[in-house]
Amino acid sequence: MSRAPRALIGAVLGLGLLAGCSSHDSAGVQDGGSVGGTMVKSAFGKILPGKKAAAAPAAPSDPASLAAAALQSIQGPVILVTFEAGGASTVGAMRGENGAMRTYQTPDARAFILRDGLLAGTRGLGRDLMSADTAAAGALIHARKAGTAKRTYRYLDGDGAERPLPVSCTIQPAGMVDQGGISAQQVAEHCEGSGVTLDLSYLVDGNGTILASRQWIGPALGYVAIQQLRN
Amino acid sequence: MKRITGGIATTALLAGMGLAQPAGAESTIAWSIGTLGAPGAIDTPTAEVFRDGELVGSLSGYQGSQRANFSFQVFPRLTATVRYSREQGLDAGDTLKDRSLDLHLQLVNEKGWRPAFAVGLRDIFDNGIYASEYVVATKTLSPRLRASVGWGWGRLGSDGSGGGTRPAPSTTGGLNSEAWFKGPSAPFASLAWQATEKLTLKAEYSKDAYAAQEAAGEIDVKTPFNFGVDYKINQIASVSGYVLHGDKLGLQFNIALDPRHPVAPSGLERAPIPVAPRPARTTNPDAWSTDWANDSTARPAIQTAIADALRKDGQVLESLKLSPTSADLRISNETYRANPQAIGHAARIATRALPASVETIKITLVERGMPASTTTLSRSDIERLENGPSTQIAAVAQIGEAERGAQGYTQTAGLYPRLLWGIGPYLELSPFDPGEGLHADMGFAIKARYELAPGMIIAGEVRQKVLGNLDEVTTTSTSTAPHVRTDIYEYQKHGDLALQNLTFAAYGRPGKDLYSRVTVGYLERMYGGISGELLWKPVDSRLALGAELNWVKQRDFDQRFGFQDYDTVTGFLSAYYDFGDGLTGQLDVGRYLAEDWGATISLDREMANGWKIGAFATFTDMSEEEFGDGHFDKGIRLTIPLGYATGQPSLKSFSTTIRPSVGDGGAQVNVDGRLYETLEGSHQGGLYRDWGRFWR
Repeated sequence: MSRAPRALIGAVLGLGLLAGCSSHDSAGVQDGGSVGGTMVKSAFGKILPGKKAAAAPAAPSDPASLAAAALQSIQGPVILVTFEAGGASTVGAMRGENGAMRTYQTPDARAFILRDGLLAGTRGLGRDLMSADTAAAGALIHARKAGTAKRTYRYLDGDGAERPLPVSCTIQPAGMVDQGGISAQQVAEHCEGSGVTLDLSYLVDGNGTILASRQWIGPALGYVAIQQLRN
Repeated sequence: MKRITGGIATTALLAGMGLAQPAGAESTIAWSIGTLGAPGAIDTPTAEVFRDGELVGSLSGYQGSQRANFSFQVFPRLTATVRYSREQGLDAGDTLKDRSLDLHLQLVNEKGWRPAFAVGLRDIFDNGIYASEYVVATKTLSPRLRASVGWGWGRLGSDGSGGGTRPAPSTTGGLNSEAWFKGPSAPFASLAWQATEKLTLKAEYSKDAYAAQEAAGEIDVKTPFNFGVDYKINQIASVSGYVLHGDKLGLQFNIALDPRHPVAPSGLERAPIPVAPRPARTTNPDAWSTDWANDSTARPAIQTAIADALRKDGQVLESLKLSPTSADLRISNETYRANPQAIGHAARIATRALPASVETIKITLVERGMPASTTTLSRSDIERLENGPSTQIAAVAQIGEAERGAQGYTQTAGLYPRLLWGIGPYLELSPFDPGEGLHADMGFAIKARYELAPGMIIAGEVRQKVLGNLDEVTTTSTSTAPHVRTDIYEYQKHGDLALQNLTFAAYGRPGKDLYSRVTVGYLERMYGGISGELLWKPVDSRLALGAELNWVKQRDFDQRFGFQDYDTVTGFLSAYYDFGDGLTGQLDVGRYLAEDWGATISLDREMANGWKIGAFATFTDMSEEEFGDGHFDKGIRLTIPLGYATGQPSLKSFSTTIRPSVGDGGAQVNVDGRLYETLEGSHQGGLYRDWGRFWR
């Protein structure tokens, strides 16, 4: 399975937009994306062994034009979320802000909850991430420091009760990426426990803001690539 | 793909989330369903089980034999199967219509080298055409191959040897225990091979002689080998085909409903409105001023804002009490099966509408006009714990008795009178009767509810049959007791504009921890009259006590407005106990419709996802002879929430009660909106059960 390349192409696509490629020239944005993607992919390949590089299949919705349209029509912070399984993309506009937690709502009223850029919940997806403890991992990721952290994901299981899924994670900063005048550091996170193995990754800028990431919703919905189109 | 390395808790979690099982973790969950509806190859059983709580319905048969099986995994190791069957030529040349009950118990699970072992009894009552007893072992040889070997008596050993003559079955409806494990016996064996994810091939060796069927010329047993194939259509449905003893071609259709596999465990409804935190008091002290309380336009504006947002959320703001530091919202949840979800939405909506000085947010659930319970939250906690673990907000939420009366509350304008109505299909089946085939009607039902004021409700339902054959049922009641229920056949013959019920009900809160109901009118299809009920149920108590008194008169069979001669007084004292984990027991003691005295004991298990399965039995002073077939009233009941199948939020559910026999003893009048079931989900036990949805 190839998950990393698509996520990272997306990540740099996000960077391109952040860097001011707001000419809404989707062709140009995609171009930049593929070039940067190769570069980041090779950098990640070194710190995340076992990942195979493979071409990403075409996504059903064109993320680049979706992102461009969202930036034009939405005020305030915007994210672009792409599901690895199926490749569907959607945009989220900030609907609520409570301290470090932001709730982004999609046009079809689903929600992605990010705490300082780390996925802390989803709503309306049927097999939602109900909550996640992200503080310990978040501190390392924002500081771009190596270390270990515990995370707990929580879900409603089939009989309706909330169940925790604890994992232990190792956070490892990697190389820098420079793109369109913005430089950001790659951070990888590897988690194990409760019968799952997760590989998460982030692009973090000098202020500790997560510009793009590959994060995990849960056993049923898998990974998503999240790009901060506008912060 | 993800590497999955085990861990029992996670395995259960992953199973609940529809992910593939790690091989071997639940190795004895049935791969295939036998022709008698229990875990099995074709005719022979295996030592497998269904998932705990799973319901498996199957229709199987070949030319000359049809069976409708309904299996339920009562406990993780006990499977019960009830069956309705038609076997041509077995009733002195005619078709034998029969019902039967099987029990299958897995003694030990598969572990390491050890196979799973099970013991079972088939068709344990009455004439026992399928009567067999067996012990069987099942071993998973590879992730795709399973083998079972066992020894059977009765039908399964009928082509075997030894054991002398098997005692004849009971013909009076009793247990066949004298014949169990007696008479000729024989080994049996089977193999199941999962060729692909969808396709399972089966072969078995069975020494069932099919003696009676062969004598009737219905089958010609050529070989002890049977072969079959299962095709899994989806998670729920499968079809099987089989060749029986080299002579007959059989077909089977299976539906397996696992309560732990809803379409969408967390629901597909839209995301809730997020919390709006207040500005910091230090930087923005003006926002925290209480001057708004003196502004006459502020309160109506706040109430309108909350009411509008709740209406869009599928809830009703009944009334609101505001002070500079607290807000009491009375809400009717008309959308979410789990009340904590409704409370969570209301709390978040309140944070967006209330001035910053309001720190205490109280949310009172209103059930049929009755304030049922109040959840008190501090606004700081809502802000601090938003989207965290539900246990954290549970720890700071206080759930207690709701204030009675409306003192200080402002009712939301324009709520009453309120008309709600709907139209939908209905399906009605004839009672489970071995002498008659299955008869059924389909049609549509119109339901309406007109609420005059909080707790004052006029409700009714009319049904119109479109097609069906219930009017062709020839059974009539031969009961010597007053025909309080056995005339069901007569009522079922009238499906044209049948008034199911039409009542006026008034609900109230006469005192602390007390709830009341009075219902007048056409209470149910067979009875009209007046029904009164009083319930003592503290919000945080496991125990509840109730009293109900009814005067009822039997309605005409056509279910219009007329009455028959029979009238009676019936009533009960009831005790309810919440054992935790969704298990509730109920004991009713009193006088039943046929003026018999006695008690009903019931046990119901409700999951947080809304599935409810229960059993009940009633023992009265009516003699077994007078009751007739079945000796006493008993049955099982099942409720499946609509959201299980759709993933959408809904209070609607599908409910059914299955009684093996209909008698006139131990019968209670059916009144809609009894107090315990009305309040259960709003009190502490029900709220904590469903609390995981607070932030959903």
